[in-house]
Amino acid sequence: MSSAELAQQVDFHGLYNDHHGWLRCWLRKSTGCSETAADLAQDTFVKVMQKQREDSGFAIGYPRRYLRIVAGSLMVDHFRRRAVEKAYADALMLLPEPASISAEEREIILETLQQLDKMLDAMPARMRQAFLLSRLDGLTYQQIADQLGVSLRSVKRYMQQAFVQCLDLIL
Amino acid sequence: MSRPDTVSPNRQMLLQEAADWLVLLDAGELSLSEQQALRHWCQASQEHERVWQAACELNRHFSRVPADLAKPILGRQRLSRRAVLKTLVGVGLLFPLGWTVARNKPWQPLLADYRSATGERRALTLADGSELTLNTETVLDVLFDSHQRLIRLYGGEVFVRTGKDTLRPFTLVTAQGGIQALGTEFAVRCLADVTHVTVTHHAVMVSPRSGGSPQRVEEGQQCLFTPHAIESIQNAHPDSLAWRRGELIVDNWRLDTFVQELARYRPGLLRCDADIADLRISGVFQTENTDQALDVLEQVFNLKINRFTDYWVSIGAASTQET
Repeated sequence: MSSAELAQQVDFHGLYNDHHGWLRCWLRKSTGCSETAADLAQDTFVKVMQKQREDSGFAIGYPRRYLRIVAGSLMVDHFRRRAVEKAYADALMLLPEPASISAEEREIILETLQQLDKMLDAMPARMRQAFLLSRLDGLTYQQIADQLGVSLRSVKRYMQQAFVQCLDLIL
Repeated sequence: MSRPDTVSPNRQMLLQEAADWLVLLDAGELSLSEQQALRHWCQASQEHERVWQAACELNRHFSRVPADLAKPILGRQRLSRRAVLKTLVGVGLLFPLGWTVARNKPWQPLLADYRSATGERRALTLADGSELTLNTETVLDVLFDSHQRLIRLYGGEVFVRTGKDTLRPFTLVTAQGGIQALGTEFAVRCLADVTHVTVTHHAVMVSPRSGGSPQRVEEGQQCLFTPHAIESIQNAHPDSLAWRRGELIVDNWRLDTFVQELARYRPGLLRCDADIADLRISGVFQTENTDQALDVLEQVFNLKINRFTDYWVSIGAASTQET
């Protein structure tokens, strides 16, 4: 048996049995909601399992720390999604004729917003501003440069990097 | 959390090229020859085609949401992921380090102002209120006068939070060039023949020593530079600064890379056998207790730690009974 195969023997059931209760408890303390905590704990273990499947050499040093890091990242995503949902609900209320958007359209828009929000979240503030001015306000790069008080070259660089990041997330 | 081996340079290159086309398209109508070039590019391979479809899909995403509706939502004030996570749980995110780690053998001038021992982390406050944190095996000079604040980093790694002084610019120089702080928090690491810069607050201006145009590196970004050029500026991996907390966070690293990195914090020689070099390691390790890290390798990853002396440790595959 190769050492890689030996190291691979992270017993998933053992990991789950030993740490699931602890992780849920920790997530409940962090999120203040036991339902959310249960969902996130489940997602965390699914992620670990996927990693193991993708990579036979995958092994974990300190299980609890590792689980906490994975769960923490999922938790940030969870709160971001919630923030978008709430902002979306608020925005819909402000529309002059909310009834003009069908329930199905609303769902599609929300899901698209979630995807866009995830991309934008990974960007530094300036790049995000430039990207939004371009995509949502339809400003030209020169107009963006004027508005942000930066050079046209900077705007091009922001946009180029923003595109790379977005593509990286989609693909 | 992409794995280092799935981000092939080829993929990065394709994304960069696709992004270049999108920028060009934003500038207006393409000329006939440009249109042709773009068509060629798309048809170069299946992978090109797939990337281009994603690029078109990206633009469609935006057209699918009403701008007035999306603006307040997407443009809302947000905390950085890191800040959110910090308030929530107080741990760093898990990202692999984006650069190949080369063991650094600094030339250590005997008369340098400040140095840290192997495995030591050291905090300094300078006369102007600037705060420095030295990671393991770091050597630097502090040269302040009435015109400038200059730090000369000979080797190792340092985190800088600059003090306020509008009259005297703050510059850190390495063998590869200068980094000028623009009211900043940033980290600099000397590698074999390159300098690595990570900016955590505001921005710095990086100037390679032998030419190449200076470039701004913004908050949340990192870059590598040689004396001649600045390599691509990328998003910083938050975990590259985990050393400030005395942690080494690795996600799916090759064992040999991990061992190289761990060796920085440990006096003497630490190496691993070639036949297990590509074993994958993930976890959070304490840089102050490398013996413990070795114990984990031994027990969890089932490796054999050969301690010839405390200063000469070699990691090999555990021998099996059958052979």
